[in-house]
Amino acid sequence: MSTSAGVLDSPTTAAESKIRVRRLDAWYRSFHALKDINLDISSRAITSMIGPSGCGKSTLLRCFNRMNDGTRGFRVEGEIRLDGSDILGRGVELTHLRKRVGMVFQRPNPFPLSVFENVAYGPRVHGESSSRLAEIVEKSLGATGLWDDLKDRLGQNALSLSPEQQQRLCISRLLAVEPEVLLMDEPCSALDPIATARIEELMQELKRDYTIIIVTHNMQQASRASDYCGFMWLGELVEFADTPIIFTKPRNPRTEGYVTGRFG
Amino acid sequence: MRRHFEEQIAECNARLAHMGAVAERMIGKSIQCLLDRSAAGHDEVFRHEDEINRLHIEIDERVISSLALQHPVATDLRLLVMATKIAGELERIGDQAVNICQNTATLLQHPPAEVLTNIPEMADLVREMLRESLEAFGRRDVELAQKVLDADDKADDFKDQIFFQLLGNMMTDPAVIPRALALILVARNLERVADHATNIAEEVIYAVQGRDVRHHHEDAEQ
Repeated sequence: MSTSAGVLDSPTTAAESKIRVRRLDAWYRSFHALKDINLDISSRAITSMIGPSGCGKSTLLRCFNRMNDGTRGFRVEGEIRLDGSDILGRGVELTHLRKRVGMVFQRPNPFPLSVFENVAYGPRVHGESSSRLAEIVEKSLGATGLWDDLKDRLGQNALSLSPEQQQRLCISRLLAVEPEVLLMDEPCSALDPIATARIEELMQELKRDYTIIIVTHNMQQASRASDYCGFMWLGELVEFADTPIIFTKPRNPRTEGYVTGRFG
Repeated sequence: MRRHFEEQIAECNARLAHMGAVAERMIGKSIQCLLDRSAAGHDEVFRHEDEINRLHIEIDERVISSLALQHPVATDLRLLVMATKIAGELERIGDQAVNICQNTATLLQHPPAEVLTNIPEMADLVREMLRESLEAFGRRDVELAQKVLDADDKADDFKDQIFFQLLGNMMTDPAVIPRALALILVARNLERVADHATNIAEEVIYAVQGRDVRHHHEDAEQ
């Protein structure tokens, strides 16, 4: 348990945490979207955030790589530290931050380019030499289980792939720039149950090397796939604990009410 | 959907409450036959055994169906797991009632003992434990469940006292051995009923509070 004041029974100690959030508040104009959030995200583990629509879970996720910065009227106060370094400060280089903390979206969004170019795009932008690109593409597609299927079709337009392959490709595209944290915002909501199960399997493999934070409406997915789980409600982090605790004996009655479907 | 699921849980609990009432009746009847030296109620106990076995299967099927279809979590999950475990305990209590009848049938082949040692007192205690464990389940009453747990040691003490008393009788008068052995088995049956009542009480505490008090688990964790 964390000893930091105000942190909700965090299962992670500050020493093990990849991301440390303290006294985080956020607003969209006058709407108070995040209220005094304190938590530690474990390194090389899967943390899920659950809660009803509008509870702030996606807003929190987007704070971790400052994706909200472009939203008009958005304002944030408090502290988020990645490996101890502040990421909310003015001097933070956003391109570098987003290379370290990548995002997978609800709907797969490959570029209308070839499979190869989708994966090579990021490393090329970050200055990787052409000679290494083929190696990076193979490694990144291999990590998501796509290489064997697509190695002979690297020139094929990515938009012609199945939705599951497109989502895997988007994850490969992230891995190509060697991130440390993967943010996933409802990554399986556009996929069928078989594809969902495969992406969840992939997440289990990826957590050996990456810190994963997933936002999901699917509570079964949170219970199956995550190690730690946070329940958010009206901008507050109500409870944060080991996932089995949240789904067998949650401490807060609001968590209990939400996970059992009594309200929310 | 939530209401539909709550109705399923309520129906499951109603079946379990009925099963508890049947088990309590079986134990009551078997003890009465023992104390009255009569086999008149044995058929009734055997008939109830069929009913309790059928309820055991029905409750397990209901729980498995709910687990598969509703994916219950938190209190709902604990209540359903409790239901299937309590159904198992009640089925075994029914078995013990049958065993008491069979041991009584053995006793009836011999002249009555001058005194039944502490068996009437032990039977009162065990029936009280069973009644309170079922009441604790019905009311989700953790305090009452704890009272049942506290009484289990007394049931064990009774069994030991009865065993040593009858052992002494057998050593001084070998003619009483068959009768004494049957009484020792009855004490053992009653002690098992107390254990099952204790298990029911432990399940109630887990279902209501999420605390696992079995095998001093909480003490070990602290």
